[in-house]
Amino acid sequence: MKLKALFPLTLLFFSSLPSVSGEQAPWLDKDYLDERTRQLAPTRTAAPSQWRVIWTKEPSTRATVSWTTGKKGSGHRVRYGVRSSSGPKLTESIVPQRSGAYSSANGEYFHHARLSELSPSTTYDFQIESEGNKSPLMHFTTAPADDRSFRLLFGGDSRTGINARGQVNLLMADLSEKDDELIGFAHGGDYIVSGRNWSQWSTWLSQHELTVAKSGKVLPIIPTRGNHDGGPLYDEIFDTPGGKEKNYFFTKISPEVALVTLNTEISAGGEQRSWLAQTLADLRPEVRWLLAEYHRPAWPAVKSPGAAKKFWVPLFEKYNMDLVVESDGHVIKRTVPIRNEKKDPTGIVYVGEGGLGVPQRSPKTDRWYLQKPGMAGADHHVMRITFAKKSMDYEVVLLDQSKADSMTFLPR
Amino acid sequence: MQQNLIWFLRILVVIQSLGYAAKLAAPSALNSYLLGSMGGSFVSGLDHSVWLFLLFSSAALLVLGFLRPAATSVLGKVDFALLGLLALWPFTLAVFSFLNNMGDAFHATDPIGHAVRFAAPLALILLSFNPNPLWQTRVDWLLRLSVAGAFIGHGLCAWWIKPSFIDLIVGTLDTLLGQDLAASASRQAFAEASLPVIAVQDFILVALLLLPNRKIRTVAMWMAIWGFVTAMSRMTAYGWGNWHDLALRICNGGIPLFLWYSWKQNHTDPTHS
Repeated sequence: MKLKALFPLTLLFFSSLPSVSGEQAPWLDKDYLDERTRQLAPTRTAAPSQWRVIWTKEPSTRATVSWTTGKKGSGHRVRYGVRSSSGPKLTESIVPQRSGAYSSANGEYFHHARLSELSPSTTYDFQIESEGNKSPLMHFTTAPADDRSFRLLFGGDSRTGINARGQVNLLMADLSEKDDELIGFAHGGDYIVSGRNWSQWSTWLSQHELTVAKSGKVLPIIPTRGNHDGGPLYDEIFDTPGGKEKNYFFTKISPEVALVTLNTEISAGGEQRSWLAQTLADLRPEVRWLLAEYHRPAWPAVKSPGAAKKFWVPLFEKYNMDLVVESDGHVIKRTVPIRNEKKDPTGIVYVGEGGLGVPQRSPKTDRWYLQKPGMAGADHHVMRITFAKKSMDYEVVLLDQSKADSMTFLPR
Repeated sequence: MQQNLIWFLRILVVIQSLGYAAKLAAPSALNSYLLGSMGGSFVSGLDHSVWLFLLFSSAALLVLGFLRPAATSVLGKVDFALLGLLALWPFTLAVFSFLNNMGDAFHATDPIGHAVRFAAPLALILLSFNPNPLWQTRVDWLLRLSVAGAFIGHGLCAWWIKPSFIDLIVGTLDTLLGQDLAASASRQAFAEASLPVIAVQDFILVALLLLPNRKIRTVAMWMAIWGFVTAMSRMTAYGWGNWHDLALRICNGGIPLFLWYSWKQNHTDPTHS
């Protein structure tokens, strides 16, 4: 009798779920996504479009503001200044140090303005100008120079599934808007299908505007090269992160957090391995949270292990990495802690595998390193990591903002 | 054509098929190509079906090799069909690997670089079902061209200094000389210097292999040894767990060895005209 009485209430609760979900995640509605996509800046004009902020080294004092124009032009600059409560004061101005035509494009040009001597943990308003045409006023926050907590988003594989990619971008914008502690985004590679195809990059770059929050907040991107990102366009788009034909570097995001970005598309066992060994030896004593990111996984949830397993994993174990982020498989995964090819509570946890829009695969759930307390699943997602004094909190956020996985790491 | 040669070819195809089956622990190139349009469940099921087929075919080819059915019999037609499909799978993968990575020069070489893998089952079909000496000459040229394709494809990758080739050399040096982080950069430099030399060697071997009216057995043997060494490097660099990478490349050395043996037989056979 009581159950029957509860039935209408239960029905009401469940029928209200879609609308709640719709309010929390309007990007799930195709019309909303289409409307937001229509608002993206046109690319074939003299005006700036496809804006992004790039972090590589020293994000507490440096950032690169990059954009595209449809004409070469000559009057390009970024005006910027510390955000104040009395409104934007764009007191500084910088012209791009590097501009040029995108390879194989139809007359589109890239511009990179490298901002330096910025103040840590400071929000900067900025506006891009090309030939007198102005971008919207936007802002980003520099990384801290102290031990305050902050968050980063991680994710990879946005190469196909263009609608889903737009949805994930809008999710990231929403997460960013609501969270002042969220300051950056590390992309694990495979942005598009063919790295030499300007048209695909152009679509990706325009859609990247969707990651800008409605307030104008931009999440600086820390790029990683994936196996589909071959060719010169990657360096033209991200200002050659880590150096030409290298694309590996480390980002000391705060005095206690370092992210080492590696390149699985060049030799893993040669010069890069020597550099990695030296870098980890230098960083490990300095930071509380030491992470690495690269594209092809050492502990794949779907594919075969890449060269990273032989050449880098011993170094990760030697220097006790706190977390390693991988992409490429098109699933969600978190391994058990691994050391010496065995589950070990002192081992390294590997997460990720890519879900920024790419169609998802079925993970190979029978692999030993994906058993509990590890996990594997499949859905479009982004990872959010909070770096704090006492813990590092890892979460996987799905398109509807629900959590697919979480884990808390304690300092080693 | 002597039966022992046909058996040798059959065993190469079986080993290669087992390698391809083991490789399906990871998604195939066809899986990757169809993922967007067909969905994860379908492509996983497709790979699983192919895996079962490859295992079944490997066993069936051995049995049929013993039975030696007539070409017109049911079992003969089954043998024919299995070999045809075992030629189709490597060809399909090579083409879809290329399509999945449009613009990538290394993957663009796959359809020619993998030629021995689909030429071997085709040759077996032709030899098993066409004992005519004219067909033996045609098969000889089919295999020579496929070996040429494999060496040109791999030679181009070596000339362009494919990063994974660098790691094969560095990983093998680690195995042979011991891991030395201080030497990693110099080992990479050695690999980068060696690869163009290897490429030139590959191209010279191809030119010698394709000389008309000449069958230089030393060249075939050299290509066999080099084919096996390079296929084996997947294991010397990354360990025994990568046996399937050797198995699916078994024809890189196996087909030149087949040619060498075939030419040797013809040379010593007094009935050979």
